[in-house]
Amino acid sequence: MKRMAMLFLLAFAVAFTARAEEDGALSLSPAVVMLRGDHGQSTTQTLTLTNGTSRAFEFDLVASDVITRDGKRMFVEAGSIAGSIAATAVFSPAHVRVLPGQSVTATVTVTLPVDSSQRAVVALFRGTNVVLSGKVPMKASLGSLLTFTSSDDVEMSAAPLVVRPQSASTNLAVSHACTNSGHEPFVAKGVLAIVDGAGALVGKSNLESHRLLPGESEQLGGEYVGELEPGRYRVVVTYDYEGRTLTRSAEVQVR
Amino acid sequence: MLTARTRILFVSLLIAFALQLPAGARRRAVAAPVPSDELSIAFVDAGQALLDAGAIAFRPSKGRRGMATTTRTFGLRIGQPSREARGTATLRAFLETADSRCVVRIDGIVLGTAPRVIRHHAPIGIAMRHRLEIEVPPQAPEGALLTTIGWEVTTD
Repeated sequence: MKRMAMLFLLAFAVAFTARAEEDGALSLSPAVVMLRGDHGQSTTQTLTLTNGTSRAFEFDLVASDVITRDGKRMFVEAGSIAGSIAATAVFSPAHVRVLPGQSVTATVTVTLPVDSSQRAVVALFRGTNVVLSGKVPMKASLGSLLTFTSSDDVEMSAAPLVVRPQSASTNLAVSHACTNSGHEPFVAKGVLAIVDGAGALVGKSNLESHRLLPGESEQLGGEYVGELEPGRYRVVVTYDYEGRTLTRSAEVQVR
Repeated sequence: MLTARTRILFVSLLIAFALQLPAGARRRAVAAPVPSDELSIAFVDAGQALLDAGAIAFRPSKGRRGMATTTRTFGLRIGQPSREARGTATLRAFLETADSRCVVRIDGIVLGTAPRVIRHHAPIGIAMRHRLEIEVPPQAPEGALLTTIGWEVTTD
């Protein structure tokens, strides 16, 4: 009986140690800070960097603006654009050293400039120590994304759904281009629902959440996890963003 | 009537299978990912060292413009290991200083001193393979790369 109990515990131990087995890593928390306020207001955020490796690391703290150009997100140097949020960033301290197995905190104070159309900034812990990899020196940097919302001008637009029917080896999938056509950032949380010919809900799946900055476009979508019987269905995707909803639907024939 | 031993064995196997078995090939059950509230970076197949991209074996092969190319693939994981992606991040790389002797590429993207996006929407929690290429003229003296590859990770 004791041996069986040991086997029982061993099954747990193996399962969990396999997941807990870690190589060393550098971690930054929080990864994202979503802020709401008015132009001209300042905010101070505390960031924590943890060194899970076996050697000490040092970092310079810098800020970069995150902008959207041609629908894509880009990073630009502080002060290089009008209304730069990054240019207002003040870090304390501006340089940190974190020993193996320890954490260090730093604060960043940023101000949303008056009349700025920018809505995101990255607080970057830029690594300063070189780690040789063979003959290739490398450095690692981690950044927390700070987004700002200052109005209710939130708008999401979406192209018609493209549906990939289920096959012998793949789930039914949907995708379409979605754009933040407003002036504020948001996170779109989507749900995919399948409705049969009689209008009854067959099933639904949650879709991966996506953050869209103003002007940013992304191909959103996901898979339906269930297995559908042959027939005709309506696929309905609904996004919830900042308390609003957007719905798109399409018909699909499952053979 | 099941004995206590049989019951324990049955439960153990059930738990072990539930935790260890990969999803089936068809119609994988996809759970809604829970976004990670922290961001981390690790090179996952580098032995004990965090940023060891592995020893670069110099195997000259004729590349473009008669240059020799050294290639190495390595794994990089953003975030803590996970079976499903826990959000996405943008991965960028750059050269700290330009080394005129060589051209450095990650996944075919030529690096410069300004950070370039290597991958938008890199899955958090899942290791991805990347290809590092260093192209050098055959007459260049052997020695360490005179620049540093910087990596930047930011949550999307």
